[in-house]
Amino acid sequence: MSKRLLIANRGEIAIRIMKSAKELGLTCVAIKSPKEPDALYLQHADEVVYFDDATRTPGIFLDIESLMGICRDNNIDILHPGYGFLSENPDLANACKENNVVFAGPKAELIRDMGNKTIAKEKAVEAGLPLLAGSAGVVHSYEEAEQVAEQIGYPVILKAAAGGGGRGMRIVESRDQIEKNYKSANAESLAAFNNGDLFVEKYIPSPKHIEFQILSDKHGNVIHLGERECSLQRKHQKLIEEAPSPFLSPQKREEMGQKSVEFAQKIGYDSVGTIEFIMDANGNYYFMEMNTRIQVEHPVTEVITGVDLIAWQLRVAMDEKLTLTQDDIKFQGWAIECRLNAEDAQNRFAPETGIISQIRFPEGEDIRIETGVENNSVVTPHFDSMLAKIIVRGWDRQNAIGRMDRALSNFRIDGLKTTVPFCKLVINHKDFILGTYTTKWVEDYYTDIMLEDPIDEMIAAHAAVYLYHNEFSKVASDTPDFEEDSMSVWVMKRRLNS
Amino acid sequence: MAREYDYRRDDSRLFVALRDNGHRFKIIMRDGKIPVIDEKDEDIQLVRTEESHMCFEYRERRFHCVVTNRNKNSYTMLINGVEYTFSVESVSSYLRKKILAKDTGDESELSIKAPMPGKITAVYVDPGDEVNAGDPLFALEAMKMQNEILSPIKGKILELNIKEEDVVVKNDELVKIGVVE
Repeated sequence: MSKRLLIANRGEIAIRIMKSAKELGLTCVAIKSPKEPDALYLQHADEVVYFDDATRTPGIFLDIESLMGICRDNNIDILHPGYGFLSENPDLANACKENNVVFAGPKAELIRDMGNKTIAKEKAVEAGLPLLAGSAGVVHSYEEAEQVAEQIGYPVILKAAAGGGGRGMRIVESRDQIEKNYKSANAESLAAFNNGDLFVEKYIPSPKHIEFQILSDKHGNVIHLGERECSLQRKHQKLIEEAPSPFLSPQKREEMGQKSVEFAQKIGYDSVGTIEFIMDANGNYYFMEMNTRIQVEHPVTEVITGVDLIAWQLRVAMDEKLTLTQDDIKFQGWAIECRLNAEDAQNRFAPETGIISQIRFPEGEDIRIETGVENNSVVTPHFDSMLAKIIVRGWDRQNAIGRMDRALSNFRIDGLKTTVPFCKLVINHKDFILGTYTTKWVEDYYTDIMLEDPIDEMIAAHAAVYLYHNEFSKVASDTPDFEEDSMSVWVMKRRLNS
Repeated sequence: MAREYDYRRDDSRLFVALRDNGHRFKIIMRDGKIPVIDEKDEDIQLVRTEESHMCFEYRERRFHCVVTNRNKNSYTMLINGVEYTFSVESVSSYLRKKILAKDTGDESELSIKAPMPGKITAVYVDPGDEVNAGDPLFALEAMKMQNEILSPIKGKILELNIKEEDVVVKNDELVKIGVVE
């Protein structure tokens, strides 16, 4: 009898997981919630379990107890958490263990340790990964802050120990500014959090976000599948990803890949995972964190390595040995992914909801589409705004950019605004083409005027006039004594609206 | 105004499409002929139209145009995923509007509308408070995003129509600010 997999997730990732799971011969069970009863992912499941979470908080994808109930009632052997929701919650991994369900992810202790910044950083240091320099603990005076800053070099950032939301945070460019900044950050922090303690840390003004994909099993085998660059972000949300990174030399790739593997070995990692780094303009890199789930942007790695990461995630979870060795991993071509979010890039990326009356994806050999929606899908405010992803592969970066540009041009959607015009703008921008973009690009350079096109604008003006003119002519022909110039603006408007 | 006689004679009509950012297009619509836009013949052909959706062809490219909002003579058109809002005026109404705008002079108050649907998570001001341009007024949470809404002007809070936990829809009037010179 084939093993039964519960997908504790929705949207495109649920469909993506089912695709690999079916190839492994697993029976896929999806959960139908009244919040989106007609969702596309349900059509891909072998079986659908209905769970009424309409009036429950949290919803089913965040409800460990109810998920375990579904596992028991449906003889589930394996649970895949996808990304988001409970994918990095050690309690779910533990609950699975207690219920004899295989969790498609690492051991609970690994999820817990990597989720704790202090522990994760300690482990990183032990494994020899570089960390951003800073004060070991809090500093108590500006003299002490200055001492640390002199050691690690300017610019530094002062951060409130109790902080959050940017309050009590100061960037200090040079020694003559540290006293003033220390005092104001200290006062602000004291006022906001009733705690004036500050940390000092090296500040990287415009970093790159580089992450390494790790694949390991429960038998001590660990390999890496190269890096992804995800520097194009808005408020720490990734929008465009690529693999490889245009910023890494082969030597740097090997070095970082090797260190990432050593780190994963040291902590006994046993699943797919991602080690995130930030990198300064000189190529110095620093460990940020490790993600213990499959990531949204995993397809760019799959496209250039030919490795099915989700199939391996399921296989290693079921105790299989990793048969791939580091030498088997060859990088071919260049991949770019654009996230298609239901967001209004002309209005601070505000989420859009509604019905997709029509959606048409680009097609082609080197285009991969991961979608959670189709024609007539309803986009609700219950879930995050990512609808789909467009991934292209080119033989080199320039070729991939050209293909992505054409793919985005051939995408059409009616009913909602999406991030497609934004993505199109970015991939055609010189900073992206040169590969020099950083995580600050959106903040520093993006304005919504950049989305506009003078020809589109003229066509839109003409379309508006066309509609107005049609209505105007209709009013004129319906009104025998109509004469435009004698008519007041107010009367005319009233007629047009009646 | 020579042009006025022109368009009367051949049954064409001159319109002004005025964008929210001040861009202006002078467009002459002529029955059965291509339009004249800013003194130039532009070969824009209507391919088809259905309900609020129009397809035009221009320089061998197709442009899908959807009306996403319509309010009196103001039209918001979505084209290639980007919205452009125009108010369309005939020549006489355009001139009248210009004159009216001069008469009313400066606005003495400004109302802050919800830029997106969401939930109010914090309100930083009270009625009667004086605020500077850039001061935060309230925080609006839309999906997982926190948005601080800032005062665009220096002024005094005249009306406050929100409290924490309120759910608002787009374009709800939330705060009214009186201009302080």
